Amino acid sequence: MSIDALSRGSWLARGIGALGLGRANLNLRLGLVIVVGWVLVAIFAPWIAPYDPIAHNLPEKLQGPNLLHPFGSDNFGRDILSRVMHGARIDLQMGIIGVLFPFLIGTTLGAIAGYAGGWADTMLMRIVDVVLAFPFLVLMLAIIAILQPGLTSFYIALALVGWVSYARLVRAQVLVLKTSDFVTAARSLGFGPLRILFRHILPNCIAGSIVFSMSDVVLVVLSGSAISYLGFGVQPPIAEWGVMIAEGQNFITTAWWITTFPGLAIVLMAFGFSLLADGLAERFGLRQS
Amino acid sequence: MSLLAVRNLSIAAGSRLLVEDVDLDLAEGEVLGLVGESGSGKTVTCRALMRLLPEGQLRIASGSIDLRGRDLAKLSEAEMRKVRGVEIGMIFQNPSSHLDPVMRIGDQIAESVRYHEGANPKDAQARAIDLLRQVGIPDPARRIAAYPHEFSGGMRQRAMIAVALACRPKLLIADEPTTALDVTVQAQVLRLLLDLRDRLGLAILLVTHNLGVVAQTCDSLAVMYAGRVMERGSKRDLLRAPAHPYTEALLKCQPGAARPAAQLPAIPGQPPMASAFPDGCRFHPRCPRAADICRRERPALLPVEALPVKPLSVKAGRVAACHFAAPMRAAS
Repeated sequence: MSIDALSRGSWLARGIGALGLGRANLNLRLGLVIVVGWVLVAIFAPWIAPYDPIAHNLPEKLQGPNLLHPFGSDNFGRDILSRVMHGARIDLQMGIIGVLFPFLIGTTLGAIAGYAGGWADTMLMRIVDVVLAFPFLVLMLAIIAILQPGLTSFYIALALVGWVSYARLVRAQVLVLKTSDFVTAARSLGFGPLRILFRHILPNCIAGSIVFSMSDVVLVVLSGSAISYLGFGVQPPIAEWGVMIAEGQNFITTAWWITTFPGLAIVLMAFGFSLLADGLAERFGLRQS
Repeated sequence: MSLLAVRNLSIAAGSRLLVEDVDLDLAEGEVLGLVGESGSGKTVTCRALMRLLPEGQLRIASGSIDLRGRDLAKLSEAEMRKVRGVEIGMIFQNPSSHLDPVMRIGDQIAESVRYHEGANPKDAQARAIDLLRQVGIPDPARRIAAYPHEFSGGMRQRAMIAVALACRPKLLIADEPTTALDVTVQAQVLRLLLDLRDRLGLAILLVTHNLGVVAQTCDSLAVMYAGRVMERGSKRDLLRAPAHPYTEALLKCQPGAARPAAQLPAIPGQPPMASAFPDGCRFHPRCPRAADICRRERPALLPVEALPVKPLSVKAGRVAACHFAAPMRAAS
């Protein structure tokens, strides 16, 4: 990294550099392998998937796992493997977009609440309390039902509900850091409150949020699948793991593979992000291995 | 004309005064030592000069802080931000915790140059390299990319000095800058401060409880006890012939002043808490020369005549707050 680029002071770039993946711990490496694996599958699904994920092929319906259909086929003759691969695109996208907006909104609001204190802090935290008073999935479903079932509504609902965890997390750390010595030093250099908050305090407490966001991806993917399963998320015939499980449940006694493989895919993706979260926590020194 | 003139500065916590009627004068290129035990109000006084008292807890109750004809006590927070870092730089006791741990040293120096002077990144970086060289960090062009944890304690203090001086302030407030460093590094940092004073015409307000540091660096001295200035004057006068019993007692406690192997004298008792400052002279409960008048009447800061012994010169502004103020020969 050139010195010029560094002096521009992108803390994000520094954060990524600080990961130092060359000396990464086992959790982090394994988690990265799984997550990167899913990302590759998602990107290249149209080319590596052996069949069209949507087109019906009734002559080959409800086949168990075999050489032509390694994960079997469903009641319309669609290849489960191809559908799982294409499903990765939707589910990964859900995990990333569904975490990104809550992360940005929650971090910003939490930082402002913690730094400003006073009535701004009180107001924001009472809103957080209200949101947390409702069960997560129920509130999500209510918001989606008001809007209209679909992915966009899912993202909007997540942004409205999911930010509270980040806000709480960041606020607590900002409260601690705002009286710390290096913040006093920054004030003695005549910096204004916004610069101190976003250039000095936030980079020092963002690690916890990043770690939490990784485990949050798991939650989001699972709830995304759950909501699709309930019919409020991704609509059939689009290949999405939750939808696939919902569609396959009528055949669970005769064709176990229709629900099992998308289920395993969810587990494996969740496992990957969980490992990543653990590995990052260790890496950032937030937790002892 | 003096650069900084503090008059009757009082700092209050609620209705209690922690610091009362402090007067300080600092000329360009002068090093003024502010000495006293822990809790005597040195650090709070420094924070007040920067208007960095913890909000809602401490406030400036009265007095003026005159910096080049401008009263800092009356400036708005926005105006004050243009004073901090630009006209007054500040360095702290613990350089490890006062540098931003996730920001490169060079960025921390350049940040203030860019913020206050609107310099472009390239110029700011060049200034950062130059400053690191001035504070004696080897290979500064490479070191600007280092993080604080990659520096040793002494280097961190040097880096913090570079950060504080980035916008070329004329006044540096150094709050116990050497306390956290080991002795050899202490001497280097003090020499660096004097060197910067000579080269940049910097005025330095050096807060310390170490009279050895004072003897090496300061031109003049103010001794604080329980929130008040007890004695003020040139370093030579004060160290050789303290007029206030507290100054005398402090000098006696210096390890160098005692006979080898003898037990080191200590001032009996504890400095009073701000909640229970004694009436009269605040030092009287611990003072060997305390008399009735000391318990009743607070002594004013009055001029003291210099000891008629050569080569002491009578310098103007030698004052002490003691009913029995008289220059005494220092123990050494």
